[in-house]
Amino acid sequence: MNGTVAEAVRPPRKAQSADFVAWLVTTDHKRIGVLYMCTSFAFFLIAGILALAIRAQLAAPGLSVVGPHAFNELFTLHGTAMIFLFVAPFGLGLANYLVPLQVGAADMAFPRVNALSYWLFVAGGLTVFSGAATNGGAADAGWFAYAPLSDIRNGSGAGMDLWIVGLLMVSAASIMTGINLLATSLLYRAPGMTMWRLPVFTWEMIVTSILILMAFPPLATALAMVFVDRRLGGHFFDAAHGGNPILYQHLFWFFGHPEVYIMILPFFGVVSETIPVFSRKPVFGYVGLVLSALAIGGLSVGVWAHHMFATGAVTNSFFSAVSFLIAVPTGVKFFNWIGTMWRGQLTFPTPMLFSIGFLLNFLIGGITGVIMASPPVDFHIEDTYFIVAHLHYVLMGGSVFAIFAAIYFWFPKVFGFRLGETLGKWSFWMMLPGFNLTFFPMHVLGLWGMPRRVVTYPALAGWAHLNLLATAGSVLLALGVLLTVVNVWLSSRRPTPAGDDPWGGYSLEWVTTSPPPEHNYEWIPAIRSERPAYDMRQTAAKAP
Amino acid sequence: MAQAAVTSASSKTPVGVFGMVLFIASEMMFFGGLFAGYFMIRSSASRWPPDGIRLDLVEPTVLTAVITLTTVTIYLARRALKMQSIGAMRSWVWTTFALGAAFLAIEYHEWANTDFKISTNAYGSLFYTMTGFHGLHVLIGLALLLGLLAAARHPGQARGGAEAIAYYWHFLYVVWLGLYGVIYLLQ
Ligand code: HEM
Ligand SMILES: [Cu+2]
Repeated sequence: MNGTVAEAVRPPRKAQSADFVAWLVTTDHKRIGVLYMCTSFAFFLIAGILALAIRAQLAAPGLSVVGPHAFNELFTLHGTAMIFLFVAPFGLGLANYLVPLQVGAADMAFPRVNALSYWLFVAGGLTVFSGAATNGGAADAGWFAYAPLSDIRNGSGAGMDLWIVGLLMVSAASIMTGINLLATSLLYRAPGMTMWRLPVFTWEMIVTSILILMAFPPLATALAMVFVDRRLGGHFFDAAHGGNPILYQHLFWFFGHPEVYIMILPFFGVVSETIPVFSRKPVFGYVGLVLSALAIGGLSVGVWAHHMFATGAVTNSFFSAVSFLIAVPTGVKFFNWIGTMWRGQLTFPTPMLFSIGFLLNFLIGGITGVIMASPPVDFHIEDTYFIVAHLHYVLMGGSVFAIFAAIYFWFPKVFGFRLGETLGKWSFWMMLPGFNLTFFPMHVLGLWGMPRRVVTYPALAGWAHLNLLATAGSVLLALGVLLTVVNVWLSSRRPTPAGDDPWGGYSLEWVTTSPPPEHNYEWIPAIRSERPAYDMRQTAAKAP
Repeated sequence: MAQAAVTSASSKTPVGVFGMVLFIASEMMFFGGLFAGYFMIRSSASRWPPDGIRLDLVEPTVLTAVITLTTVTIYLARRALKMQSIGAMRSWVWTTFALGAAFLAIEYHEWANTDFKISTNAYGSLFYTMTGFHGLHVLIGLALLLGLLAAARHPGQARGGAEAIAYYWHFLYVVWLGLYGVIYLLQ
């Protein structure tokens, strides 16, 4: 096996250009998955640099590192890239790689559509960013582009239009990937791989895909309407001509709240894979995990208006109640993960550290979510830094920490060699405090009334110290991220072969080689539970 | 340990049809968003349609008849394919194509003769956006029909495709019925 590992790591020079073309035209789900993840990670780095610029501007009162207009562009591109071009697509990329392997299929159901999805995603991302090169600059209406901020009177530049078109492409790409994942996990399962034996990650992707199919089309509707208003003289959101600006908010959040679950469920799946492996126990409450995912999926389409409490145009009590309810299945998952670790033989390699970091951070984000789901409280903290704190605890502290867990966990499977543990741990121990230093103070700032999306603030407000702390934290966080990038580079210079199954994994992908052959499996073991790789090792150990 | 063959599809559902059904579901959500917008804007309007706008019913009724016919012809095309009579299938597909093209032509004629524009007011924006997106989907349907004709050289492969495209035409039909009912009949 080691021979093939070395080859995969370092192809001979001559083969490289042919190899490059092969990657461009590939329809292999593993390659597309890798491309998806690498591209979205590149967007993460870019969006991270934008975030550092935002933090530099806010480090002290009255600074003018960037002007007000540039500041609007910064937070718009930062938010758009993180949400639409990193967290959600990274989950789809990971699923692209893993779902066919986990269900025992040779590829995705529609390999060519899959390739199209990836390239549409790349084109969409570049289109969004290309706005920065236009005269009026990039889009500047925030990641949710409320009307009338997004209308033609508030910005006639092409940046906003490119943002719309780019996101339409990303939406189409996501929908096609969702269809592909559903078809693959429902119709292409290996013999013996019943629905109740699917790994939790695959289950979470099934629910995510359903949410994608429900949520992204209404986003496309909303974006199309904004475009009609901007470029064809339409009046959807223009009250003076019979339109209704609240309509945009309804359509957007009907998408927006499921979208936050599209950005978290895949990573619930990730930690549901890593935690059992590093606890040396089967996952506690498999059925509970699956059912809670379905419950979250179901409830998440009924809570969108908790983003609109302050509009006065929605039935607050209903949407508040459903929002509280959604905490129940989320809590169930938490107990499942804790229950899995309980009395397990815990080990703490880097993927486990990041998974535990996920649990800690997400817990805080979940609690602040429930706090805000109460309209009287929300009236006070709406549009303050409290919201910024909440969304970063769930997305950065939650999803992104789980993304790092996934990177460290599956990297050896994907490339055949391991990432260094020392640098990995350093990375984690910088990111965890860096993250909390950056975002915990924002809860306090929000309660003290600091509004979000302001370019600066007066010294008299008394917000200076905590803002400086947040900026310092963001530097530490960024250095932590950088260490993982360095780790990938250093580890690939002196690859340590990983073997097929470096962690003692449970799901099917650990049975095949690292990296897997073109069609994934030469043979598949008997599947008798949701842990086929584990079962296989047990049988082998018992055999004489 | 047992050695199982590496699988392809483990189920009887043709995967292309399954994919098409999911795609149609997502399209329904897209049009659902448009209809939701229609009702929301309408519910806050004092007069609907706004003053001076009245839609004629003749052409939309003809459109309804035409698109109803396409669901019949596409069904006949599928049946012909099942019975291996490629010639009949081709002519039914071409008939569907002609009806679809006629639909677009009549719709265009209707658009050209209304006395309001997309920029007149929110009503105009809704009217043209909703019928326009449906028309765009009909256009895509025409392209799919051409694809089906090209694929008909290999009847075995065309089977799943024909079924998927038939589903798509029925989806166009359902959306049109919604438009006809909501925009024209419930004025
Ligand atoms: C326990 C479940 C959760 C509840 C009850 C909850 C509740 C809320 C509420 C009420 C708001 C609106 C605050 C306002 O604008 O006034 C909000 C905002 C937000 N939430 Fe959550 N949340 C939960 C979990 C999550 C998760 C899992 C994510 C993503 C992974 C997430 C991401 C966001 C984002 C991005 C925003 C900000 C949207 C914006 O830019 O305004 N939330 N949440
Ligand atoms: Cu929400």
